Amino acid sequence: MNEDIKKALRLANDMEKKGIIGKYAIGGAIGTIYWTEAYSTKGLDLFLRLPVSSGGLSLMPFMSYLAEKGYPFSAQYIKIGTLMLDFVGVYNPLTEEALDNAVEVTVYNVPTRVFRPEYLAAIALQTGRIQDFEKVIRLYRESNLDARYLEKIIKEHNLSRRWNEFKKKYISADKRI
Amino acid sequence: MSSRKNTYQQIKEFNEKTFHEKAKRRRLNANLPFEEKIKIVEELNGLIRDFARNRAKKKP
Repeated sequence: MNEDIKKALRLANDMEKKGIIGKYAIGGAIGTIYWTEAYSTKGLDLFLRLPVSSGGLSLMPFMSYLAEKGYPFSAQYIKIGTLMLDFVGVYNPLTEEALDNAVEVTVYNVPTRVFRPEYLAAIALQTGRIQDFEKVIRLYRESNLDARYLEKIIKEHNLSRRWNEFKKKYISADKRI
Repeated sequence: MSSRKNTYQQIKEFNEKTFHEKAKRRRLNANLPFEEKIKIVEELNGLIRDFARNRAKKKP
């Protein structure tokens, strides 16, 4: 998996350099693990901006590049070794903002970016599946997230009601978190 | 009844203690280098895969 992640990040960096994709950053479970204790996952989610041409979003160069490299899509994934690589286009103002504020890091000697824990928590809260709530709990108790910054994001993206319900259910109920 | 209450109290204290130890361990693990954490992810994935395989073998 180490080699697979390295390969995936090099692939993304190459596409960004060639202008096939715009800026990208690690999100999802692997992004969460960057800030928390490790847990089982097979997926690497890379959030990205696709270049916009006069006809709209430009998907063709992206697909052609991956096909040329021998990485065909299987559902929404690209399989690299045991890794399921998922390219996720930023799909709303929250994910756009998360990408703009992603932190520059180096992993396996490869420069890349990862979403800040506050954005990972807000996106997970917005997505709202059980596995997403688990991410919020992990980020809340294990990462050194800035609680004030998280509150600001939540307010700006109209997630206050969901956040208050979440806190009531999962955080206030167990004060030890 | 009071002996049972005493036992519950002891269990509660034990759970509290282990909870705090686990929370401390989680925070320490969260600070491991990313590359180390990915090795752990790989081990966990392997354990889950083996467990699923063994369970499938046991099914008639």
